[in-house]
Amino acid sequence: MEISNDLIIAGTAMLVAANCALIGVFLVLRQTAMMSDAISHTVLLGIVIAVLAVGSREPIPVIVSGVLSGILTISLVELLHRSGKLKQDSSIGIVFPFLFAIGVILVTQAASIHIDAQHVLYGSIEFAPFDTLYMDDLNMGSRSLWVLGILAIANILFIGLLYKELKVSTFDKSFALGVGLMPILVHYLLMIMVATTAVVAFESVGAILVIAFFIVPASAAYLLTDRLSKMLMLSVSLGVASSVAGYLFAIFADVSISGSMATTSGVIFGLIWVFAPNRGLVSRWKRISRHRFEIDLGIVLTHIRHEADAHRPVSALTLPDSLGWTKEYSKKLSEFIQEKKLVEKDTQGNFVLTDLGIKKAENYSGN
Amino acid sequence: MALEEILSVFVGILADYTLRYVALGSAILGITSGALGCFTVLRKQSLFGDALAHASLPGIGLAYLFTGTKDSLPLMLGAAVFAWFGGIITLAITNTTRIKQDAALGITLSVFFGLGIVLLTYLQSVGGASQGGLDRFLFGQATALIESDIINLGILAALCFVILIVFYKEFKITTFDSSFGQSLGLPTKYLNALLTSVIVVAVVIGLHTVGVVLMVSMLIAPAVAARQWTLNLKTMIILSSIFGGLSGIIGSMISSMAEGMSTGPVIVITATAILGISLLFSPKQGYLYKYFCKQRKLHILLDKTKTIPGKEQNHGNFQ
Amino acid sequence: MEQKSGNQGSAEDKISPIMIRNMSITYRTEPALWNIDLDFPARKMVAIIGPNGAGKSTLIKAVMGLVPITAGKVHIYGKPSHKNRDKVAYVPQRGSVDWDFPTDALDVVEMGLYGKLGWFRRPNSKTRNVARECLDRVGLSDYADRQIGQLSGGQQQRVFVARALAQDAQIYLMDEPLNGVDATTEETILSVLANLRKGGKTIVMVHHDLRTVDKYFDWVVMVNRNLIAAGPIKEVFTKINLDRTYQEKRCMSIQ
Repeated sequence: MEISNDLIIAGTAMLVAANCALIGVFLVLRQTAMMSDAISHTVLLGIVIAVLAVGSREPIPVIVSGVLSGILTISLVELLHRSGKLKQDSSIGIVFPFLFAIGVILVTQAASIHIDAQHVLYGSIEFAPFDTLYMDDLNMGSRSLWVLGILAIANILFIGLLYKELKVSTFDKSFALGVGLMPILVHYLLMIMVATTAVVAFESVGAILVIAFFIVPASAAYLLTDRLSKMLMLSVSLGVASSVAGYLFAIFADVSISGSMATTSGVIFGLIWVFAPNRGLVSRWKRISRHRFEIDLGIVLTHIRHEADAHRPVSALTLPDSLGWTKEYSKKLSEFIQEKKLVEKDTQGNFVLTDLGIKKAENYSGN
Repeated sequence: MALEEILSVFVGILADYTLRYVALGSAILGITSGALGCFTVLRKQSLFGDALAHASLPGIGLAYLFTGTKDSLPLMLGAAVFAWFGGIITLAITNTTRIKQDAALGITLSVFFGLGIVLLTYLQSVGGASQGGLDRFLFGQATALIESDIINLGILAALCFVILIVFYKEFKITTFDSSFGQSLGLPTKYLNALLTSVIVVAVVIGLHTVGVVLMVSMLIAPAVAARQWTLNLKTMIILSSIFGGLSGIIGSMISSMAEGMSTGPVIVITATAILGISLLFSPKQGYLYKYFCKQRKLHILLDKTKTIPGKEQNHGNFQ
Repeated sequence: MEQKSGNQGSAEDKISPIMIRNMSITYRTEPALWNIDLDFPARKMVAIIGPNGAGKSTLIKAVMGLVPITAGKVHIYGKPSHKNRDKVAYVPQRGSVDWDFPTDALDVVEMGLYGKLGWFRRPNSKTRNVARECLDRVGLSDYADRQIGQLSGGQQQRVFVARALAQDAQIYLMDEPLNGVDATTEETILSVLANLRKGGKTIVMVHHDLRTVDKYFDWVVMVNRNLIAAGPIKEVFTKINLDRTYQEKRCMSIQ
C-alpha cells in the first residue's frame, strides 16, 4: 500500500473530524457538551493505566480502559451532583481536573509510558504515517486510518440503529421514558461512544482539543438547519472541511496541525454565526429591527387613536415627550405614517387617523 | 522516621530561595482563586471559569510574539485580555443564537485553546526549541517563578482583594438576588463585569503555578469545600482562601520533590483531597454525620411513633 | 378601557405615587404590555390581576426599571422613575433566588438596607438592629440565624417581605407574595401590609386568588396586555370586567 504521508495525515484528520462531528450533533442537542469535555479529558487516565498494565498502546485495552475511565467520570459527577451538595457544573469542574491531573502526573513521572505532555495537549497526528499496522507480517498500511475507519463504521451503526431512540430521548426525555425507549440507557451508550471516539482521537489530537471537533461543527450545523438528518450531514461536512483547511494552514505556517484544525473550525463557526441565513447575526439584526419598526408603528397608531378618544391632540412634536423616543426617531415615524396614508394632518397640524390607519390600529390593540 | 524525613524536607524548603518563591507564588494563587471562586460557584459559573482559563492561552502567545520578553506582566496582561474576550464571546453566542451555554463554553474554550496551541507552536518553529518555555503555562511550573514575578502576583492579588472588600456587599447582593439588587438601583451590569474582571485576574495569577488547563479546579474545589463547613458567605470566602492557599503550598512542595513534575496537577489533587475530606467529615453537612443521623433518627422513630410533625397548611389558590 | 378616580382627596394625594403614561413593553418581538395609562392611588392596597402571561409582573418590573420600556414613561411621585426609585421597595417572586446561598434570614433582611447605605459603607450594628426589628414584624425573630434554604416556603416569603420593610419605602411593589404560602404567612403578611397602609404607604401586589380580591384590597388593576380596568373594587371589580380580562388571550400579531 503506497499512500503518501501527507495523504495519510490528511485522511486521519478528516476521519477524526468526521467521527467527532457525527457524535457531536447529539452532544450539542442534549446539552452535554461540557460533560463530553470532561470525558475527553479523563480518558487520558484510562489510556495511561492501560499502557502501564499492558506495556504498549494496543488499541483494544486502551479503548476499554479509556471507556471505563469515561464511565467513572460520569458516575463521579452524578454521585456528587445527586448528593445535593454540588451543582452539576461544579461537579464536572471538580471531577475532570482531578482525574486528568492524576493522568498528567502518571504521564510525566512513569518513564515507561512514552507519552509526553505535548502529546496530551494536542496529539501527534504528524506521526500517523509512521505507525503501521501489521497482520502476520503483512503491511496493512496506516494503523490510524484502520482504527478510525472502524470507529466510523461503529459510530454510523450506533446512530443508524438507535436513530429513533436517540432522536426521541434528545427532544423529549419524559416521553421516551413513557414509551419505553430507555433514555438513560441511550444516554450511557452515547457517552460510551463519546469516550471511545475520544480515546481513538487522543492519538491524533490529544485530550483537550478533541472537544473542538465534537462541538464546533455540530453547533455551526445547528445554526443552519432544523432537521436532525440534515444537521448530521452538515456537521460532518463542516468538520471535514475545517480539518482539511486546518491541515493546509498548518503545513503553510508550520504550526500544530490539530491546533490549526480547531482554530479553523472556530473560524468557520464564526462565519456561519455572522452570515447564516435566518439565524446569523446579520439576518437576526435585520429581522429584529424590522420587527421593532413594526411594533413602534403599532405603538404610534394606538397612541393616536387613544388620544383622539380622549380629545387630546397628537402631532409630530408631541410624540417625543409622550412616548419617550428621540426627536429624530419620532420624526422618521411621523413621516412614515403620513407617507403610507395612515394619518392625515388636520388644520392645526395634528394627526388624524385615516380609515386605513384605524383598521391597522385596531389590528394591534385588539379592542 | 518518615516524619523526620518530611520535616527535614520542609526545613530545607524554607532555607531554599527558589522553593520559597514556589510556595509563595502557589499560596498567592490559592488564596485569590479560593476567595473569588466562591462567587464563581455561587453564580453557577463554574465552567465559565474553565472557558476563561483556556481562552487566555492565545493572549500569552501573542504577548510574547509582540514584546519578545518572558517578563510575567505583559504575558499576564495578554492572557487577561483574551480571557475577557473569550468570556464575551461565550455570552454573545448564548444570547444571540439558540446554542445553549454548555456548547458555547465548549466552543470558546476549545477554539481559543487551539489558537493558543497554534501560536505556541508557531513561536517554537520560528524561535527554535529555546522558546519552549511558554509550555509551562499549560500545566504550571512554579519553579520558574522569580522574585519579580512574585511581586507582580502579590500586587495583582492585593488588587483583587481590595476590590472584593470594597464591593463586597454589592457582589453579594447581585449574586444572591440580582433583580432585587437592580431594584435598589445598583448597576448590576457593571458590577457583574467588575466581578468577572477580578475572576479573570485570579485566573491569570494561576497561569504560572497551575496553568490554563487545570485552573478551573482552583476556582471550584476550595469554594465547594469551604461551603461544607459554613452557612455564612464571609466565613466561606475566608475558609476557601485558606483551603486554596494550603493546596497551593502543599501541592507545590510535593511537586518540587520530584524531578520535572508540573505543579498544577499536584496542587489540583491536593485541593480535591481537601474537598473530599470536607464532603465526608464536615459537621452537619458531611456524609458521615448524615449517615449517623439517619441511624439515630431510625431508632427514635422506632421508639415513639405518636407525634406527627405539623405540616404547614397550604392555602388553596386557584390560578 | 375605563378608569375611575377613586379618591378626590387632599392636596398631597394629588401627585400619584406611580404614574404610567402610554407605556408599551415588548419582549423581543412579542408585545407584553400595550399602551398603558395608569395612575396608582396613594394610601391604598392595590391588586393587579389578570391571566397568566398578561403582563402583571412586567408591569411592576417596568416601574422598578427591571425591564426596558419600549415606549412611554413611568413617573414616581412626579419624577422620572429612576430618580425616585429609593421610594419604592420591591418583593420579587420567590423562585428568583438560589436558596442554597450561604446566608441566613437576618442577613437577607439586612440586604434591604444596602440601598440606603450606599457605596463603600458596610452594614453595622445599627442596620443589624433594623433588620432584626423587621424580622420581628413578620413573626420570624426566632429564625434570624436560620439558613434561608432551611425555612419553609411561607417563611421564605415573609423574609422577603421583611427585607422590603427594611427599605422603609413609600411604595411597596410585590410579585405574588401570597402565591402558595401557608395560612399563617398569608395572615401575617396581610396584617403587616394593613399597618403599612395605615401609615400612609401605597401597596401594589400581583395577585392570583380572585376569591380574596374584594376582601383584601381597596383597588384593583385588571390587565391582559391592555389595561382592561382600574379603580376602586366596588366600581370596577365586576363580572363584565372580569370576563373581559380573562377572555381568551388577545391576539396581537404583527402584520
